[in-house]
Amino acid sequence: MDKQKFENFIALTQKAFLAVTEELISCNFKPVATYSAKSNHTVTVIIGITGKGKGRILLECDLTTAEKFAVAMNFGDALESPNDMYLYMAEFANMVSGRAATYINNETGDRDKWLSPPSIFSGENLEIITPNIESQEVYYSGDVGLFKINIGLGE
Amino acid sequence: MAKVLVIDDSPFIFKAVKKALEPHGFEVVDNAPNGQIGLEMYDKYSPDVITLDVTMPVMDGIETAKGLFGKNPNVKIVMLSAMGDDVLMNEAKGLGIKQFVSKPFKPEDLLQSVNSLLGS
Repeated sequence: MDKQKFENFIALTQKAFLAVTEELISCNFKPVATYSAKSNHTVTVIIGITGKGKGRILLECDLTTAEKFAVAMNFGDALESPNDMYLYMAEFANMVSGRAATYINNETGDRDKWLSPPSIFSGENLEIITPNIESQEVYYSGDVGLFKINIGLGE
Repeated sequence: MAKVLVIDDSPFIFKAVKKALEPHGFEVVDNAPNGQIGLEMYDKYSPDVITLDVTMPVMDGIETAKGLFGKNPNVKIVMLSAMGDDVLMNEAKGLGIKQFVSKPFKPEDLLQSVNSLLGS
């Protein structure tokens, strides 16, 4: 894995996360050093990256944060169904990943990165591992709670 | 009343499109969760405008646009996508798509794009 490309991918994903959260719910997130979800029950969305250099972006937060974020996305209205929370988180992850891929593709002038539809996981004490790709985690804290972003890229 | 069909795998986007357009007199008729169903719904509803996602299961937005233009060369499409790179935009423009709105979108941006397509 080209170290410079990997670091650029991480930096652009972080830039995308901050831009999308600001546009979507006007929430200022700040990077934090550690991640400690309030509950062991978490929601994780994985967006696969295809194209040149396959990988994935994983967004995780606890249920309380996910619900607050989904309500904010829903223009402040209560969700019609509890399951809507998962769908809203999936779309949020899609927006972040799509923005990151856009930044990268515009830098390379090529269809370097393309996305696959989101996969949604929810449960207690989830540990999701993707073998054979280099990954790095970053954490963000905002009014609605904490997010973990795990960014992985392979050859 | 102009009819709008949403082709997007996210129910959130369907709701957001309704919120943006219905107060301005549009009827947002239905939500197709992928391109294949979108092509079927196009025949069912004959919408005036379609909002079209790019990344979808079964059939993506580019293939769906090809299918829609095959049915009607004058179909009016707003590409509404989290992806917005130059390569994609050029491919979409080459197919005949004239309006692009990136997600997350402001309601007024979508309204302006739809009105522009309808010439109002």
